[in-house]
Amino acid sequence: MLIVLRGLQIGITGGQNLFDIPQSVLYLGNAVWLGLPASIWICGGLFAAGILALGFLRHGRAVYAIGGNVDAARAAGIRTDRVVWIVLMIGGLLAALAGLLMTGRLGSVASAQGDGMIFTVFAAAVIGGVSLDGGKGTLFGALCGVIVLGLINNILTLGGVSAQWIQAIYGGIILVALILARVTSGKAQD
Amino acid sequence: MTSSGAGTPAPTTAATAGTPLPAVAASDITKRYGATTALLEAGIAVAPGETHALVGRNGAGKSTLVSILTGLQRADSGEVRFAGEPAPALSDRDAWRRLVACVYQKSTIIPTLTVAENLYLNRQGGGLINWRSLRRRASGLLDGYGVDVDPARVAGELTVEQRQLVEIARALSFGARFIILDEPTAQLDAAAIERLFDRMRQLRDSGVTFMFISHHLQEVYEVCQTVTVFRDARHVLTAPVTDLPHDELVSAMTGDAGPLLSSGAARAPVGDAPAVLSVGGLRLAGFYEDVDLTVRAGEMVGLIGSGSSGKVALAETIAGLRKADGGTVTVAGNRPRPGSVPSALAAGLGYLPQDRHREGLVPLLSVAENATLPIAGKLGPAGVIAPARRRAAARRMIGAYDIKTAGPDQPVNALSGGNAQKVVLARALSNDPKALVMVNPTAGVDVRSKESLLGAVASAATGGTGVLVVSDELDDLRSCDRVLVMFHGRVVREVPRGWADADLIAAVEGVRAPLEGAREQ
Ligand SMILES: Nc1ncnc2c1ncn2[C@@H]1O[C@H](COP(=O)(O)OP(=O)(O)OP(=O)(O)O)[C@@H](O)[C@H]1O
Ligand SMILES: [Mg+2]
Repeated sequence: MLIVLRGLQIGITGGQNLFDIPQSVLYLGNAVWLGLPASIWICGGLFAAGILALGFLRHGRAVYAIGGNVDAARAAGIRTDRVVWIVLMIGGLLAALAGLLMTGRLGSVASAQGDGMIFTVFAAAVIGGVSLDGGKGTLFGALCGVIVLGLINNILTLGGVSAQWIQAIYGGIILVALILARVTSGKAQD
Repeated sequence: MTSSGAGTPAPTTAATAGTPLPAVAASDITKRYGATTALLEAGIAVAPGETHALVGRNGAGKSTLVSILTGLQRADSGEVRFAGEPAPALSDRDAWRRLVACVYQKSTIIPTLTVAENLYLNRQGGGLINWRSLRRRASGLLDGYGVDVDPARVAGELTVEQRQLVEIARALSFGARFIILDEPTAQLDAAAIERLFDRMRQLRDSGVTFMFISHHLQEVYEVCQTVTVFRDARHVLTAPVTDLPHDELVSAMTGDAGPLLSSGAARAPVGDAPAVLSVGGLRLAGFYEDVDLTVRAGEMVGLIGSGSSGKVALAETIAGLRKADGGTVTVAGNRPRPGSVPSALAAGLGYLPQDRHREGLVPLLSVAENATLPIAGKLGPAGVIAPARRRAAARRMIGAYDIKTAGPDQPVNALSGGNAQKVVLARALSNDPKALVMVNPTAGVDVRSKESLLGAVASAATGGTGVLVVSDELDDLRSCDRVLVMFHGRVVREVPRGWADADLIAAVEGVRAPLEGAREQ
């Protein structure tokens, strides 16, 4: 799916970078509210809302239940298919919003913008303690993962490591995080 | 025998003489899964206030009926009524749960969530969840049913018995007056079963109606008033238990009149064959201490003990699932690395885990793939698996172990509970292990299949495998050459073949005087 959409994007834009972007699209990405970029406010607000929803709302807890045991969730009266679809839709919406913010900040759309970001997201979630088996993890943990990765990125950049190597280092961090997650999640079998 | 036609069994107990409407009635239910007919015009009627047993061989359609009676699945045809009213719509889960509560054969506890959240899943109340009050309500609920579990614990850490008690408490908390228990006793030890039955009797005295499914027929006589038998997807008979002696019940289930074979058929004594499994001075704090035992080639040794005896932890240590604090495990002369399953397997150990859903099977793979996992290397040259040979090997196993399935390509999660257990056992034996450790090998397996499974184990022993059977079911242990009794983490007695049931039970419970005569009704 990701590959199809990427291909579609390249097809439509002819593989060109887009510079001529209307102001309304750029606004969110470069506006400053109360002395901080709007994207920080938006991001903080969304994380707070997400933490609240996943921790304290019935529908949010249903997501955990589905991750833990689908059949049991269904038996408890959770409409599992519907919840999964809604979660996917919210995920897509948030990704679109993130793209908008990034475009606004950069002022243009590079044809490879966001390429490989899925791995960063993956790494942030795992580092934040989100279980890939499902049913475990918190949004706060994921936020910490994002911040840790962001810090590492900044340190590497400030330390003068070239952008090409940062990718490799990210990969290494994902690996180490996966191994640690495996080792610390109780007795690893086989 | 008050046998009645399929679909319209009459309610029978005296308690219901004045109330003609059954608490629940299913009639002419048909349910098909592709080519498999799980139920064919079958029905059941449960009178209010009675405890109604549903029995039948593995794959007879019992759990399918349960899922229809609890509104998880729609029948292809047929009708369900509660106290004369038609059943609610399938999408109205809350209405179903007010009418009928159920402890399913497969656990419906979510292991990653806390006990409190499991209890109130999807009914935490509107708006923001107040976790503290949720925990308080949960501990009130658990106390009310006398369940001693901390609601803040993660459910995955609970023992099998605790998990089941939580399920029962949750089921009751909806206020349903009709409760279905699908093989609740398959994984419990004798003391836990007794506690469960006490609880059921109390609830029945307060007017709760039960439907009870079990393969332990003596339990049917102990707690039930009426029994319904299903065979090959059909209703066979419904009768008061007092009118139906054990042998007639078995022949109604199996469809033939032959008596049960005695499973204690004698094998040649092993003499001083070499030891294939020996355990020396093994200890694990909190579970067992200083355990020594030896199993010789061709020998069958039983290990019995209550839930707190540490016998399962001992088996798991031998298999490498746990790491002992000290002591040695020797398999066929080798010392596998402690705490390593692959190393134990490489040394020639076969292991049948207690919880087949968690450790035994890969749910989406086919029966053939699951059954042949350990012998995959032998099915073709250089690690390539020839599908035809795998299917042939699987077909042999399906025949030998009497597994009821649509074919080797059916995914294992579509098998009935007992048939899944047979796949696990077939797999454990497929590799010709030198030593075999089995935990509750016949849990959830019907009476007739039990014989064939135990026969297969005995013939593996005759072929030179040393077998350790860890179980609290006396029938599993009858063909063992000797039985070790564990009590509070120590092996306290060794009993040679030919023991009396009462003696062994007394030893398990830590008393020597025979005391169990009163249990039979
Ligand atoms: N989801 C499914 N897909 C295909 N077949 C199924 C499915 N569920 C059950 N079956 C088949 O329906 C039949 C009846 O299964 P059911 O689980 O009701 O048996 P059971 O009487 O509960 O047996 P057991 O005593 O072993 O639990 C079996 O042959 C089984 O293979
Ligand atoms: Mg079943």
